[in-house]
Order: sequence, then structure tokens, then C-alpha cells
Amino acid sequence: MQIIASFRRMPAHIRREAIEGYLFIMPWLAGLVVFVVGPIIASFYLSLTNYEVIRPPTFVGLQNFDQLVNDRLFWQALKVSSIYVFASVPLGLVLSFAVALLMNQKVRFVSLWRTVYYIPTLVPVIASTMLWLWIFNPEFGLLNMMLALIGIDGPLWLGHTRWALPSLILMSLWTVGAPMLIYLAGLQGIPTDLYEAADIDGAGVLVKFRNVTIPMMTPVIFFNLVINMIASFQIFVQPFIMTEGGPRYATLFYVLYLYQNAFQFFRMGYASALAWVLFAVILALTVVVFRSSALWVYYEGELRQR
Amino acid sequence: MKPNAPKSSLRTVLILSILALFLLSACAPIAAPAAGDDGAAEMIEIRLASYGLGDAWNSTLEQTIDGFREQNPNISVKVEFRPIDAYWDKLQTEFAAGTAPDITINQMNWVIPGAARGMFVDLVPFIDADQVDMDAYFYDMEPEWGWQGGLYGGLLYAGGQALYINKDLLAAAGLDFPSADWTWDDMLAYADQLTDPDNDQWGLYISPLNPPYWGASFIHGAGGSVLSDDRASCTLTSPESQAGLQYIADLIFEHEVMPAPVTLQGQENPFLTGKVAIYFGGTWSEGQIRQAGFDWDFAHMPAHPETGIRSVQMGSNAWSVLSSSEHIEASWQLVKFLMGEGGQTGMMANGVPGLSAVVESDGYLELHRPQDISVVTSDFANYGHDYYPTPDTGEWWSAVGQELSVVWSGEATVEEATERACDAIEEIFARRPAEWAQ
Repeated sequence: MQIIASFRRMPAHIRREAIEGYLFIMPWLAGLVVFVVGPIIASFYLSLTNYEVIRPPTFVGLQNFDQLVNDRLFWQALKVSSIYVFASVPLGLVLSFAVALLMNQKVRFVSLWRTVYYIPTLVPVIASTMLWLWIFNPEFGLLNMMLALIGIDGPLWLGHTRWALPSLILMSLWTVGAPMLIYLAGLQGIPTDLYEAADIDGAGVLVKFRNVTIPMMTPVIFFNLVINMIASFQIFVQPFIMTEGGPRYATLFYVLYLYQNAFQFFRMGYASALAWVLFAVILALTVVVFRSSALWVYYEGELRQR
Repeated sequence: MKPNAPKSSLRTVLILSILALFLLSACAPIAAPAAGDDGAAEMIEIRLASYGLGDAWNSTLEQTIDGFREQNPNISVKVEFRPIDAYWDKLQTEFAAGTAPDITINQMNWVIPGAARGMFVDLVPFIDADQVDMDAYFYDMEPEWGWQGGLYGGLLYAGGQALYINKDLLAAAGLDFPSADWTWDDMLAYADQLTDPDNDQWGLYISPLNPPYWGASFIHGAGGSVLSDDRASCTLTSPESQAGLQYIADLIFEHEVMPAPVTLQGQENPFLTGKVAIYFGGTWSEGQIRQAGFDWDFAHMPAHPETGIRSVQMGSNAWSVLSSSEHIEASWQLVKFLMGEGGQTGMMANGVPGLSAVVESDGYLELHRPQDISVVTSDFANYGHDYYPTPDTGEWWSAVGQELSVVWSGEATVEEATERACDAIEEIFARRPAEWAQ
């Protein structure tokens, strides 16, 4: 009633605008409810069941979560994904920031270089994955051929338990173009008068970088950190195609293990439990990052008391 | 403008969400009235799902089914070709949602897992009622698709391991084509002479390697097995099983006549590029090999020099009727046609038929000339071994593959890897429900 009353109080043109607005977001809203919120609620219920997909679920309480604790592959998958996130995200952030700084210089053909660095992001992940399979080939691959040129006998890369995960971390740097572009937009948004003021104060390049560029970029770094951390926990296609989790579970990423349980091992209930644990892990880490942001993220116009 | 109070906007969103749900539900298809199998004049529509394997294969299947359509004018067959990726995932979800097709193509490792969970129809009562002569098949379907006395697949193709020989490379090395009674020792001697590291040429290559694929045939040859007869325990740690796997490891590391699988990541099959002389592959590779542009032929499986055992791993494709079908009888009729002479002859250009009369027919043999396909089919008939189907096939295959992968890269010994594989398998088997006991 309150809605209708507040609706009635609106001037006619605003009311119409509001109705139109809601109508326009209706398809998205319907999609959200049916394809996102619905499955999320369903997966929570399924995580408490023994569900093989092709047979109706039976309620088992917390049994799936209980099993998780004793499942060595669950711990292995959590370990693999965590190492990947804690290695590839910082590396990617630093590298993409460095590339963005380079791409922000006034050099010839800079638009071309920016395009070149961004192109890998546009390559379909399946295609780039096949390409990297070639690059990592221990016998004929580009990487080991280049290492051989400087006298290094390259490793088996994806074929060795010690090297397979570092290989995928290395490969993740291939797509630094996406965060680079966001950094670049951020860099160009830094007011030039800050640099001019620093110049007048006699600041050198490094001082300007440390005291102007980095503080002004912290909101962008924060954004890239959160987005890349969440995306990296959800990596699936690369290990699915390149290694199938091997050799000997060295690249058993969390979501790959979840998929195997859901669709190859007939353990959808267990897979749902895995999904909720991953959600909790990502949520916890995101909360930590958000909380920490008060200490290191600076927003323009924000007043800080020293 | 003053923004709406948060409470009322939340309520608006909720009301609109419910509205949206109503709208969506209005888009759902209207349920068709259920049609029974009775009523002779009534038109029955059945849906057959298959993965698409290219235009040629797809049109052959359509043409083959045309034969059934002519014989059964009251049964309309709709063939649905789907991508092979995620085929099995999609079928499971369709089955759960009640929208599955009536008949599906099945890879070897899907039939028993589905059957044990009630997904497929037992064909035995239909076979008995229609008096289908199962002795007419040189190929025994029961070990592959049998589960607790039932049979859950009707033959599409008999498939499995085939031994391909590059005759050009043999001729260049001055070697005769291997005789039908050759042994593992003979094969090693051949491979040794045919390996030429300077030209990147290898004596032999086995792919896919991990049991229950071709590695299993070496385990059997040495007198071992992957699982016990009742499929309830892992037997990879027996000295015989380990000896079979050690033979393969030695081909890679000691004799250096076979490339380590890891060195071929991202590469084309080296047999197709003429870099391998002896290739343990699948019957499904024949079409590709035929286009490779060198002279080749099929050889018989070599025998273990001491046990005298030859073993060929099978892995075939089946048609299964979904238990959710409303037209099980009509679906069975189509499966019967496809596994019968009409289907087996119609599809014979694309795979090995299971009917003896078709396999031995001039028409079939002629399709493979100048190569001699009877070498493969006679090895199937004499030495064929199933792939150890169980309801938890997917899970234990994965464990075996993971544990053995480090043997082929030289990181673990056969003993270490088989111990770990058996531990993992026992863990998986410990979760089996009581109703799965064979």
C-alpha cells in the first residue's frame, strides 16, 4: 500500500519514468532471480543432500561438509587454487601496472602498442590454451627452445608435478591487457596539476611515482585486486583442457574438482557443498581486502586525519 | 529529487521479481497431452540424440534411420545432433528435468554409470520377447553394457584397440610385415630398429595409454588385471600387473623407442605425421590414418613371450533407451533396427559392425581395402577384453590416470604409482552403496 501511496504522490511524468525504468530492468531482474538467485538457493539445499542429478536428492544433513574435511583431494584442490591466486594475482597486478605505465608514455605508435598488449585478452580462451600447450611443449615448444639458446635444459612444464602449476601461473600473465587498460584509464585520470605542484617542489620521477601516482591509483589497484582474486579462484577452462588436473593432481584447481564431482562422478550434492565452501573462502578474503582498504586505498576528496 | 526510502524500493524489487517469475512461467511450453504406444494409427514421435561427428557421419545416420522410417510409418524419428563436449552433462540434467530424448548414443563409460542409477531401460526382456539372435554377433555386448543381469546398450559400433603399422617405414628399415604370431620381444626388436632419434622417428607409440585404455592390454598380457573379477578391488599392485606397466615404462626410458606422452602435448598424433612406425591406437582413428598419405596396414596384437597371452582392449558405442521415455516399445524397435542388419550395414562405413554376417561380408571388407580389417575384428573376437565398467567408472579412471601419469614422465616408479592408484580406488569403492554389489 505504501508503494502505491508513494507512487500516487509522484508527479505523473516521474511516475511514468519510474514504471518505464522498472519495465526496462525487468528482463535482467527475471534473469537474476531465475538463473542466479534460484540456483544459489537450490545449491544450498543440494549441499545438504546426496544428489546424483539423475536421481532425486536425499537429505543427509551436514554429511557432505563432514566428508570434505577428510577428502585429501578437496585439500589439494584448495591448495592448488590458493597458490595460484596468491601467485598469479600479485604478479598480474604488478606486471599490468608496469605495462600501463609504459603505455602511458608519450612515444610513437603508443596506440598500436596498447592494442598489441590488449589483443591476447580478446583471443578466445580455448584458442589461447591450445597455443600455450605448444609453447609449453618440452621438446618443440617455444619456451624450451628459447631456454636452450641460453644453455638451459628446460623442464617438462605441464608434464611435471613441480612445474605444471607455475606454468599455468606464467600463462595467466598473458592476459594482463585487461587490468592494464583499467590502470591506463586510471593513470590518465590523475590531475596533471598534482605533478606540476610536485615539480615545483623539486620532486624527482621516483618521488612523484611514490607520492602521487601510487596513492592516486590505489582505488584502481583495489578494484583490480578484488576482481582478479575472485576470477582466479574460479579458473576452470585452462586446467580442464590442458592438464585435466594432472600430473598427479598438481593442477587440480578447485572449480575443476567441483565440476568433476558434479558431472563426472555423480556427486552433485557434494559439488554443491564444495561450491559453498569456495563462496565462503572468497567472501572471507574479499572482506579482508575491503577492510584493509581503509589503510591503503585513497579516494580523491577524502579527508584523512593524520 | 528525494530518493525512495530503501525499504519501499526493496519491496518494489521483490514484487517485480515475483511478477517477472510469472511472466517467465507464461513462456514455458504448454504440456502436450500424453500419447500412449497403443492405437495403431496413432503417430508416435521419438527423439534420438547423438553427438554430431561431422556432416558425413550425421547424414549416414539419418539415411540409416530412413530405412526404419520406411518400415515404421507410424513412428516419426527426430534425430538431434549435439556437440560432443558436455553431451553427457547435458543428458544428465535433461533426464533430471524430464526432458531427455527417448534414445541416446552412449560412449562406453556412460552406460553402466547411467544404468546403475536407473537412467536406462534393460533391453533383455525386449530381446527375449522379439527373439533377437544374440549369437549372430561376433562381439559380446554383455561384458560392456551388462549390469546385474540386465543389458543397457544395443550395439552401434564395436570399437577398441587397433595396431597400425607404417609399412613405408618398415620397408625403409628392410623389415618384413610382422607375422600373426609375433611377441612383445619381436615388437621391441622392431621398435628398436625403427627408432631414429636424428630424424625424430620413433619405433612405437601407445595412445590413449592409461588403463583401462591400451595400457591395460599389456597388464593382461603379463597375466595381470586392473580390477578383480567382481570389480570390487584394485589389482594393479599384483606383480603381473606391475610387470605389464613396467614393460611400457621401459619402452620409454630404458629402450627409448617410444616418446614420453608429455613430450607430445599440443602435438598432432605422431603416427599421422609418419614419425611413428607401430601405433597402438583406436579403431576410430582409421579414417584419419587413411588420409595420412603413406602405406600402412593393421597387424595382430603381439603375444607376451612367456604367458602367450594376447589382449585387446574394447571400448564400443551403444544406443540406450532412456527410462523416462513415454515410448519405450517404439524406442526399442529403433534400437533393434540399429543393432540389426539395417543399422549395422547402414553405418558400417564409419565403424566396426558387431554382426558377424556384416563384418565378414565382401561389402564391409572392401571398404577397408587394401588394408585387412579382418585382422582387427578377429583379434576383437579372440582376445577382446572389456574396459572394467562399473557405476563409478569416471571416478576411478580419473584416479588411475592421475597416479600413472607420473610414471610416464619419469617422476614415479610403477610400484609407487600402482600402490597409490589402488589406495585411491579402494577409497572410492568404499563409498559404494550396498545395492551395487555384483
